[in-house]
Amino acid sequence: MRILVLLTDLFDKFGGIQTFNRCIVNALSSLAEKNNWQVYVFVLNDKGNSSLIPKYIKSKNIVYKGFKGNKILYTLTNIFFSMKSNIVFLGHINFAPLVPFFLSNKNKRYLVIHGIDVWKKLSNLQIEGISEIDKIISVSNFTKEQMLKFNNILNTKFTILNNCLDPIFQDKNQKLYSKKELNLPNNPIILSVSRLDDADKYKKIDLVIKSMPFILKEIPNATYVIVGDGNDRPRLEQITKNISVNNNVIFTGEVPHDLLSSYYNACDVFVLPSLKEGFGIVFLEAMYYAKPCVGAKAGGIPEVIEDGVTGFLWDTGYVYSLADIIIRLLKNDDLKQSLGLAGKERLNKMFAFELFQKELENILCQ
Amino acid sequence: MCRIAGIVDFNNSLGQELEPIIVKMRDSMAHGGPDGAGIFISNDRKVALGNRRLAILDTSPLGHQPMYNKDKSIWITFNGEIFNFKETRNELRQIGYSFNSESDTEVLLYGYEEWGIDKLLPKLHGMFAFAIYDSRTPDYKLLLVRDRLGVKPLYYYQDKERFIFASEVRGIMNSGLVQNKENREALVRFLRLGSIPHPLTTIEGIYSVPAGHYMLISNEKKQMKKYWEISDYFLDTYKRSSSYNTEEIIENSKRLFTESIRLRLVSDVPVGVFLSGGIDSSSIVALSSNLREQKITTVSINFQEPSFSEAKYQRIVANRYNTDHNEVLLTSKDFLDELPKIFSSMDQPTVDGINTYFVSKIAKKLGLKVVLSGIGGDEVFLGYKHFKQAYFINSFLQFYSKVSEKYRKKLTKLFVQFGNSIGVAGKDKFEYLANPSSDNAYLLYRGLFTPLQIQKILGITELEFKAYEPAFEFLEWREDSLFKSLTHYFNYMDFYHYLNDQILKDTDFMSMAHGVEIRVPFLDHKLVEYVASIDPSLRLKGGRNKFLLSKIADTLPKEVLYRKKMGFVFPFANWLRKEWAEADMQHIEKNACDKKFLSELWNGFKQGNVHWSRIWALSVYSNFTNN
Repeated sequence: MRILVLLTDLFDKFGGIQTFNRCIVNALSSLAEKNNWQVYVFVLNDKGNSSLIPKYIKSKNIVYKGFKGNKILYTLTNIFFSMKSNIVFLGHINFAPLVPFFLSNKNKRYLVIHGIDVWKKLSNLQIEGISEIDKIISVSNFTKEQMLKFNNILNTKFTILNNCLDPIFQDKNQKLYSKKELNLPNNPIILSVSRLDDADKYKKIDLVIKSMPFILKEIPNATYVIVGDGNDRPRLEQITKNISVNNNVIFTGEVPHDLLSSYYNACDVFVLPSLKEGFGIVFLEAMYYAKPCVGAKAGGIPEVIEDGVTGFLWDTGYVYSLADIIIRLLKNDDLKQSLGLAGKERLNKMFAFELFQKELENILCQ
Repeated sequence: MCRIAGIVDFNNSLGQELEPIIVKMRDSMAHGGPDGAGIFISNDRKVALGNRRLAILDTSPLGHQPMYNKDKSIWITFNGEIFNFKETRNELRQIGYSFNSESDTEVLLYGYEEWGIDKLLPKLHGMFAFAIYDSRTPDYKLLLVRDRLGVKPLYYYQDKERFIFASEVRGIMNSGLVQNKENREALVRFLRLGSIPHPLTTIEGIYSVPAGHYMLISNEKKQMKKYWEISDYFLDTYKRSSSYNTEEIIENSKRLFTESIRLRLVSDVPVGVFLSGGIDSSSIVALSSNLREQKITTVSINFQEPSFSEAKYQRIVANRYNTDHNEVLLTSKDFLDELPKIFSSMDQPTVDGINTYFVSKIAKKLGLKVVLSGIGGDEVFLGYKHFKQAYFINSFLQFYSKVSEKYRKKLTKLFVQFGNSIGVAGKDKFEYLANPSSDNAYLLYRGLFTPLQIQKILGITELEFKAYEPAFEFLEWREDSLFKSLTHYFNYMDFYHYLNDQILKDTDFMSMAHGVEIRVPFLDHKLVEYVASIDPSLRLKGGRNKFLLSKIADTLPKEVLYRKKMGFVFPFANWLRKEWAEADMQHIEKNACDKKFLSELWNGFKQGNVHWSRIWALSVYSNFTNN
């Protein structure tokens, strides 16, 4: 069987969509060996020379190519390859308008939907493309519901394939650095991992910073560590100065992938009160290290964090309660531990890579 | 309509102090509840409720608050009106409940007992903020509820020891339990917008309960839940686009608006209508006159300054509908004499509300306790010019966003300079064009001082200013995809911000300063839900603002129906320019760093190039920061 996979980004950027794509490629790498599939992975924006390639693509049955953003070449190549493929796997809604141009209609078409890009009335071209898709794979129930809210699409066309933990995270040989080695104080650590761009203000890192004065009243040595970088960082740093919490907030900037695990491991609580997540993969990473998670009761987050079981969901709009939740967790080691362990269990039960791979195989073999 | 207050003392740390504190909080808001007062302290002394009453429905002592149910397990303190309470009461009677009073408070109480909060709220038609203490569970449980559109105010403060709430920020401050720490973030945003965006207030740690939300405070849980959201109704504009029938829409809107007015005329005390002479208040008079046998009392304000006087239109409407019409002439002396009282009535800073202060004062003098007002007409039926201009702004921004950032910044500077040279009012706001976005487009209209101006006023750097960005404190997910156009987005923001944070907030405290209840028939939720589900392009049919309203109120005389929009404005600029001494400016200057900018502003204002609201805002700002 020949499978054509169209992705926007894979190895050169880091974010929710890219992590999902890496999981797909990793899973296909094993499945291709097992089932003797021939898989072509064409990535629009990748340069094609990442050091991560051998970590994810271990089968010679996978052909990977980055198109460096050349849209014309990308389109023509895919139209050509689609003729000889049994399955076409589209990794982004923006590829849907290509489908009517496929020269063969014998192949099965799958489309993955992630989040914000489909939570709206889709363009006529996208809808036209979707009409020729066999199955829409949604990363969360929330994303599916949002797409249905604005568009007339058959409910039966959808299937859910939850995001999973990037297998690279489960590397047993990964060295974990101590707080001291990470240059972190030996204090209770609240951690967020996020891009800090202007467009990411909805992640509400500023709200966590503004909760710090309340938290410090109860736990004077609590430290908030923000991993990530972007053009919104100066604003966030300025807020910490304005409200005099700059001594208790650490901006690490971007952290190399192999160090990230150590930050998760070093924290006491993982917090990201983002208002617009389709899923929230960072929570899975925190769950892997058995950390209690705090997210917003918004978007797809309630599908990831089980309120009161694996962490707490913050009621959006209720300013003080975010601090209240963090204080409650930092003050109670037993609670912290039990929620963290329950999170790890939930991860293994629902969002493990092995389950993802099996589910993907089921979908493709249907 | 009343003022409410309460405390949850988590660990009983207040002991015997609980009672005097709740009394003090309650009585600091006596202006909003002159007809009675009461408190309740729970047996475990963890919960205290207070109420100052303005008796409107069942003015007898039977309507006393806080009110309790038969076995005294549930207590309520309530501010507002439930307009359909008789309907709900009948429903409860059929179930077997009996009632002691004719008040809506008792209906709320038993409605909650029977159905619980989630099933009760959809039944309520009205404006309300209330707290319910429920001792039926082993532990205490307090519910704090605010109406859908935020007509009635409700604020809270929380720390490790306690949860405190009140109808006014100063009610909470009068508990003496909250540190008086100025919220700079909120005050900077006041300069930016002319009012403080919710949920912030002037005091750190005090927040407003957002409109359409309720809170649950118990030992086990502390929650906030949204139960109503206007943009949910925007979704219908996608589904119904092909099935619009203009005649049907006009008929349905008229039916809902008439029903809204009918419900709001129910009262056990005299009711009047504020008549400005514009289409909003005139349409209320027109529809009211069909609903009542007795004459409607109308109240109007006029000025010596002919360009501001709307007496001609007011009289046309009063004559046409044969109202008991009352006109009062307001002079600059009246305004200046009342200034200290206006400032002291201002619970939170605002550049608006002075007009409400005076009309409420006059209503009180005329013996009216309830007055209907045209507030909300512009938001519901798209009366502001920015709704029409949005189309052009959007087209321009689409093009402008394609210009590279470097050239956009240069071009924007040129726009500002050009605006300066030809004397365009508000040209400094062109600064927002440098970063084209829906929010910045909205700030072109609703922004007060620009970021650059605020940096000058406060003497802060661009980076320091950044910490006060964005202008609105979005703490909830705003579903941007719901907005079909920039007009649609402006409409949402006027509900979310302008009505909620400014108009309704200052209408409440300015009217309560005189113990007068203002009812807002345009903000009936059934009407709002229906109209919100209609595509804005239909509400602006033929490029006309308030196209629908003009069809609904088609019995209005043509002179009124087709007159130019004026808004309910006072000649403040003339008064301030003429009467305000340099001393007032010095008072303002104390807080400002860039004296040169201030004197330019003051001179610009004196020459008529700067809008009065800028000067007024600085005065209000000084007043709040000096306190």
